[in-house]
Amino acid sequence: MYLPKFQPQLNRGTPVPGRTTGSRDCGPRTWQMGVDFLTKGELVPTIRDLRDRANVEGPQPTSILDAQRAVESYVNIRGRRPLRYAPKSSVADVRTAVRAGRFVQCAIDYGKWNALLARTGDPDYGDGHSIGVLGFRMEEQPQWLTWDPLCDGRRDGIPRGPVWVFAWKVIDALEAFTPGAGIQAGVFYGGQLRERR
Amino acid sequence: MSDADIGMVPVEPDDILDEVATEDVDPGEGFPEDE
Repeated sequence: MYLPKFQPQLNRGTPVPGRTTGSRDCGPRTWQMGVDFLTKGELVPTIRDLRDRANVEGPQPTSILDAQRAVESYVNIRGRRPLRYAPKSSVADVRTAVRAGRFVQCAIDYGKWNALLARTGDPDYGDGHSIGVLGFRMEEQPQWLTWDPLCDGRRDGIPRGPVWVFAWKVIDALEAFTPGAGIQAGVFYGGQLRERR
Repeated sequence: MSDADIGMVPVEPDDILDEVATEDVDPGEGFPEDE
């Protein structure tokens, strides 16, 4: 199975006044990995291109509807289906998509994420954040492979790249993003067709 | 202090239409068919 290139946030992308690490690009970084997955690495758009297509200039934060606008603007990619993005508000739909091997963008509360995990990309951050989920395995309990752009080596001792996490922890962090109001996620689909020569 | 910053904002829940049922999507879409 093709896996996308991991896209870290550190020192890349849109500068934020008063910050040094090029943040607020967690959403577009996640979209980059999703588009990479759908096109098997053929298309890895720049952050600027993705933000232009979403019509959200940097360094503004983004939403799942911005993601849909950006991803679905890639209609004509030779030999591939148009790229699609389905916003989701139910945990059941996210579970189904992850089990089916899809790339899923998850809007999570990073404070909850830090409370649940021993080592995260930024133990001091506690607000809205975007991660990707692509990959599923069973080891006593279901685990999902998470693609957190903050796992970028910004400090010693934190993960760098994709990390396996118990599925229930991802779901708890999803639910904490909009407490009592469902979840906010998006399923990437379309794209990759078998290449026949 | 964190050196990250807010990156993801919520939309109105009513704006999420859930139009596409994941299980209804063409199985050929979005999958590495040849692997």
